[in-house]
Amino acid sequence: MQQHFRTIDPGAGKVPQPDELLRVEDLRTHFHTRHGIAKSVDGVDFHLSKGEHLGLIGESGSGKSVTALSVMRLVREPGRIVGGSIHFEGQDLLGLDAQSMRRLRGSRISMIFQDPLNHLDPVMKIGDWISETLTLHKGVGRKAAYVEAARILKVLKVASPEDVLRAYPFQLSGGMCQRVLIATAIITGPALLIADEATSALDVTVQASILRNLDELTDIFGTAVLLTTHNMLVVRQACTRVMVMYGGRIVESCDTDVLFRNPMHPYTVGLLDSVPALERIGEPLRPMAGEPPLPTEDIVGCKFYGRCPIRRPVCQEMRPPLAEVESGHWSACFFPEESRSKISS
Amino acid sequence: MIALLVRRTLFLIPVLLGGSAIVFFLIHSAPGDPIDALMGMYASPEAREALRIKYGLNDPLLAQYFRWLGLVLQGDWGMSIQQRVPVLPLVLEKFWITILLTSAASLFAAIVGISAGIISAVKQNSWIDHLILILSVFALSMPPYWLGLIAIFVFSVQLGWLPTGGLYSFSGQMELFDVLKHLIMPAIVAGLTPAAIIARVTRAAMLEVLKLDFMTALRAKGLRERTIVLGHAFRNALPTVVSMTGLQIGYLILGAALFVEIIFSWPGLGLEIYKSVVGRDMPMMLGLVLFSTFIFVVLNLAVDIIYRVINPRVREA
Ligand SMILES: Nc1ncnc2c1ncn2[C@@H]1O[C@H](COP(=O)(O)OP(=O)(O)O)[C@@H](O)[C@H]1O
Ligand SMILES: [Mg+2]
Repeated sequence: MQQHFRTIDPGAGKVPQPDELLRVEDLRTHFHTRHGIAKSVDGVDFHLSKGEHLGLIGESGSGKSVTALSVMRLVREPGRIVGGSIHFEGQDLLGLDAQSMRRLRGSRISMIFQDPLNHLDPVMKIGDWISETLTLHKGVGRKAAYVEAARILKVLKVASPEDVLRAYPFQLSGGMCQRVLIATAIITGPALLIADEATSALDVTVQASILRNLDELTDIFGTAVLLTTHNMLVVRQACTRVMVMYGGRIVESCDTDVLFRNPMHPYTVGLLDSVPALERIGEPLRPMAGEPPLPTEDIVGCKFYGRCPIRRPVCQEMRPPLAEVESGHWSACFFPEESRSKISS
Repeated sequence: MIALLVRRTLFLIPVLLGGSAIVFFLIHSAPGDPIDALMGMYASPEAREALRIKYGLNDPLLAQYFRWLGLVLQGDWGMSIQQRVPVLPLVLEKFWITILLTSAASLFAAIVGISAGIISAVKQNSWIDHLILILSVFALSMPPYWLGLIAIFVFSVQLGWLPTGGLYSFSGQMELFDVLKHLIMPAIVAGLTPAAIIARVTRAAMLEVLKLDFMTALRAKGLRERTIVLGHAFRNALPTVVSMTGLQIGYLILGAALFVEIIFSWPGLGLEIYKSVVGRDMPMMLGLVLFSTFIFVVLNLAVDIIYRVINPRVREA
């Protein structure tokens, strides 16, 4: 074992920085199911600065959505936040009463979702849907809210906002529905926008344009973004910093370009190898072997052990802490240097 | 929308024609002779025959039907054999009395049924959900006339709180209050079964909506739970609830109200149908059943239209 791990908290750790917006520490969200306790979020630490775009990447089932919903305190039964803390704008979210938490949702923290059509009220006109939020949090009247909604849809490059405001969700395309959700989320000027697989259900060109829209709007409002995705290319386009999630834990965290250049966790390496990258067109794809462990499995050591090409006995006995391996680069592997050199050769 | 309205209204014509024919032939094939009922067993054959000719009872059935239909279309619904007054004005008068009872019963059924359904769905699997389930199973398995008799026994005979039946008391001075006192028991008895059905349907429709993804989106907007349940979830369940409620009201008018009116001597269409059947008063019977069919069909059309108006996916398609 090496001596290089200092703390298990990437960046946050000691003194909160002045521009810190969100700090999550040792978050644990469990689901009590028939098959046992699923530790969907199993001790997650991260922080987010004002205006920063942070990516959360991982395979389906790695716990991205549950992490996102935990920050909103919207995890549904049988799920429960069983431990840890979430500090947002200096407030302890898990200690807030229900009413104060409700006041933050939609005004200081907003959220958008993977499947936009199904996240709109099917029998409510788009205009009413957007203005409902504005009226609730800002006390704006219906007329003024419609004007504001049309204005923000214009920024989102919607050709005829008035028509969209008068439509029902089922009359719009998936991309348009996502623009509506984005408009609703951002119209109150929140400090944080959580985008849970916001572009995954859309085709590639729409995806790219939505991500550009999102960039522009969050710049205008100074909104920070926590973006979850299973798509490396989305992270590359939209995020300055990225965390890799596996089995409910953060396994690597660093600036986005560093991740692509110099991954320090065998799982990240495998993930990058399985993505078709422009530089490697022509080379065969290498899908990762094996399956992630069941979330109900009780694992003491590293969750990636079963699939890891560089595993050693120690990995099964101890949980590798998320440790800083170079400045601003954190990895939850006992042998971070080996991950890259040994695997992709 | 307009075209549909016209189409559906035109469609009423064959439905009503068919309905009237079925009613006519069914009633005429029933055993029993109106002359017997009217004159008793001991009238002379000549007197009987004279009356048969007067009411056209000797003609072929098909001829009788078309003659009756022609007159009905002209607004002449014949004379009640028993009461010796024109059928149509009598039916219309009784209609309003029945409407009073069915409106009260429907109001009760809708309010109780929908509230119970919403509460059951929101508190799914809690003790209150189970209590509502037990109560609705009870309401569904008790025949209304039996419930009516029990209610009369308890509230009128034993406790003396409410009158046993009728529309008003002869000595009544506070008219409205008096009618309400007569109305409350039959309305609740008639509304109990529909309330139970509406509660079950509302619960199911609400549960269906509450598990949809947009519930999370609504919470993420920061809305209160009350707004989410009543303003969004119930609004989405509304088309299902409305069509079931409409069906139940139709069933009330044709079915439950009949028994309940008889038990509580409520002088509406139901009691009149009963009296006309007992008295073999064919013109009256025909008029009453035809009119009830008409109301039922029109009500169904109204429910259909409301369903479309409140359901944008159907309306805009
Ligand atoms: N409603 C639920 N009931 C039981 N387990 C759940 C539920 N939602 C999520 N989980 C568990 O949490 C894990 C992580 O889910 P999720 O956060 O949705 O993954 P991701 O968003 O990364 O695809 C899942 O593998 C599953 O075991
Ligand atoms: Mg997800």
